[in-house]
Amino acid sequence: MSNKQDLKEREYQPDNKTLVIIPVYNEYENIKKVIEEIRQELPDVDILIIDDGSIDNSQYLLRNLKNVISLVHPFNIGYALALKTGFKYAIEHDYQYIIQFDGDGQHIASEAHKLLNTIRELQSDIVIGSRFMEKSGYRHSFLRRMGTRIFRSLIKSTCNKEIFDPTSGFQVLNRSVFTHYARMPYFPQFPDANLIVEMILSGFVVHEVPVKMRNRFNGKGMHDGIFSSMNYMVLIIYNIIIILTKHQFKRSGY
Amino acid sequence: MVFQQILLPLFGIIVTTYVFIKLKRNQFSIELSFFWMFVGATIFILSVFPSLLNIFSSWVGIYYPPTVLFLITSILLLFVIFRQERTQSRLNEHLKDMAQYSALLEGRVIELERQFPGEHDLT
Repeated sequence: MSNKQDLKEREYQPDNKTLVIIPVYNEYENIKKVIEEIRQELPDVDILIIDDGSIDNSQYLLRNLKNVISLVHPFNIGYALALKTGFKYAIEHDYQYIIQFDGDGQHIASEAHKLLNTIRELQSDIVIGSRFMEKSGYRHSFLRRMGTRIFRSLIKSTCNKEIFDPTSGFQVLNRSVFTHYARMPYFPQFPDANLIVEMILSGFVVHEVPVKMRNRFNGKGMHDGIFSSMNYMVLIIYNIIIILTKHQFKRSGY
Repeated sequence: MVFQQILLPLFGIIVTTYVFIKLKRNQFSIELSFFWMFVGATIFILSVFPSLLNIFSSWVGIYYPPTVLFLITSILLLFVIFRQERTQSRLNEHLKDMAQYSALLEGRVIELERQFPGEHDLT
């Protein structure tokens, strides 16, 4: 196909082509429910599942699912890099928006409408689905609650912006953001508050919308356990310090 | 005296700055840099306040403070070696997985080519 034809074909595509990306790791029991919910609530988006080297039967299940695009990592390389695989796929296939969705049933598909409407109306770059802007039934462990509070005040003091739920994985990104992420060397292991700080400092527009969330359907989460929570907290705070220092140097011209 | 009061703190600063420059140029991962920042800061702090070493050694019950320094250094080095080994073994495993994965993929491609002969011939 010539380039000209290629361009013409692209013009026909709706300019708000949207992709839901769901990184999963050993979520055999949850995937099906999650997909069904998205299919019902968001019939005109494409669903991409990135299996991050699951060792249960997820891969077998994914191969037999219809209407779902699935990519499989040959081994586990982490949640963040699974997202990055999704970003690269979205760039290759000309998507305009990405909905980041969890495979464990925490996120509620109908809530994605709010995020999509916000990103279109306010022309923002990132819209975060926030659990803490309004009262919701979402329960959080003590350590995570402390962490969220610390991150929130860190973001407020450094970026002058109130982000109520900086650790929320329920986000909608526009093309400029996921292109930026996909090209980022050393994409952070935990893309949370640190990434939001970096994006705000780089001039991207971030908005937050209150959403409801559930507690996960089945199984264990990523940061359960005291040691891994502590490790996570220290890493993110260190990450933010480095990003701020880098930014300070950049601003003063070094 | 010169060594301890000027060169050693300077060395600590150089380590920290070098790691930071690498980070700024996106040539090092932030997660891995944590350890080296810690090492640089420790060298700096211990050389500026050597009395900390005395306090620490009497704490652990070692009479000759410099041995504490050697002890800490060797423990840290052991830790680094262990981490390297762990990374290497993981990478080895990944490499094997990749080889097998690509073999399986190749198998699926060949099977597809057999099902639709002629359409993929480049010769």
